[in-house]
Amino acid sequence: MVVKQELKSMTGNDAAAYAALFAKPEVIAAYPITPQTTIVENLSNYVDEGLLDAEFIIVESEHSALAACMGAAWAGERTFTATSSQGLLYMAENVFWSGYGRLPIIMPVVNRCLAPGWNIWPDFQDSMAFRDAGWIQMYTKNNQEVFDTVLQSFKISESKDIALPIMPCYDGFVISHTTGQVNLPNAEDAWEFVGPYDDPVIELDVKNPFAFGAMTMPDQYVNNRKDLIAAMERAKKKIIDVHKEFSEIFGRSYGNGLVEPYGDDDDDLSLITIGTMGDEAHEAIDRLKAEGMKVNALRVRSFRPFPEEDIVKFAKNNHKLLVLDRSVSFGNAGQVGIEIESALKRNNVDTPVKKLVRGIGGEDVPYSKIMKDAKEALKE
Amino acid sequence: MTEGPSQPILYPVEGVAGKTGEWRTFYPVVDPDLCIKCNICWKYCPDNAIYPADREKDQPIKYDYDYCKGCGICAEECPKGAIKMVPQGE
Repeated sequence: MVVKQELKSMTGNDAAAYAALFAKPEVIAAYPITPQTTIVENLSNYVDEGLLDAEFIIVESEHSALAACMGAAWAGERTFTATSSQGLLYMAENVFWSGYGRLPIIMPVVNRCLAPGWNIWPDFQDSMAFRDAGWIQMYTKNNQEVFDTVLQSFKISESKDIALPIMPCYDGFVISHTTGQVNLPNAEDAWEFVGPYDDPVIELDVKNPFAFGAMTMPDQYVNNRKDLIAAMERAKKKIIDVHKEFSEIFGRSYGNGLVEPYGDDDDDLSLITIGTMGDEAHEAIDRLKAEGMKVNALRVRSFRPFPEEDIVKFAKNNHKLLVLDRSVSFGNAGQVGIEIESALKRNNVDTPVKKLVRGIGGEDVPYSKIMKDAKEALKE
Repeated sequence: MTEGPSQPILYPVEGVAGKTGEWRTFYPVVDPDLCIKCNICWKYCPDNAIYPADREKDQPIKYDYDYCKGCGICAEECPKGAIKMVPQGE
């Protein structure tokens, strides 16, 4: 049975902060950066007002913010932070430490492009730069999905057979500072879903002390990484399972949790998107269909782990893919496009793939622009 | 209960690198008459090779020469100059 929820107006950052509030993190450490700031501002208010019993650590930099979170995670505490753009870059060393160290830290990344030139608007260059840091990365399309994904993140990341930090990612300003409708459950039902973090992945024990990340010989290092690879693979099923459980309780779903298809199979063109472009793509599909075109869409929700099986299956059932990326690997193409192309090749699927980079540096990507790209791809 | 992830964790093991005291070129000697049993040396010893002094029993610090590498930090930190570094073999 779906629990009762209340429809509210809030920004994406408010939604992320609510999800964190309901999950009751024990330690929050953060440093302000646009457009993430209001998440941790809200949380510091909750702590100040006594609504949230968390240790809120004010630090002097993002590097320290994540370092504090790592310490808390080693102590076996539920740990939350958030960042964006230059702040994420400043964390870099610890991003890899927590990913390779298998520390379950929940860190929304409110995507903002990287300088220069100085620009606070969205693209995914910041989080994509950490594609290989051993973090789960989920990209969301609207305020509601931000709430839902942050809430799900705790269950995915903290599960002992996964033990991976997680970045719920979403477009700065387009989601973070734009008010939208969010169906908000009450705190009790959300807590019932998330539950306490009572079987920690790792836990400091002063009676049985250990050194973390000390000199590790190649054979043990390889074992650590093999286990990380296997955990990422297991995370696919975990994301699906947590998403399914969530849908049964809260009545909302996003495809199977890894990818969200829109429309039927066997179409002439499929738009593959990520982030808010996925929401605009729905509108574009509806309008293109009304003009008599056979089109559908697929939004990549989980980028790490990469849902290869789902994408290959989808590609097999369609005739041409148009991948819209909001980031670019200079010297090649958009990351989603590159990875889809290689996944298809690996699986001997010859559906043609056209790759485009759109929405860099906050360039607006409305449905009208997506329609134009789709029409051009259909003509080729 | 699920098994946790494979992590780069090391638990302390005594003597994993053998008796590291053999690496020593100087060894520390404490003068029991000068030692005021403040245990500052014990706090600074990077190898945990000092047994702390006991004021109640009027016992000065003692060394674990199996593992003392002879770095001399204790002698440097001693506020009373009660610790001398003596060349090995003298």
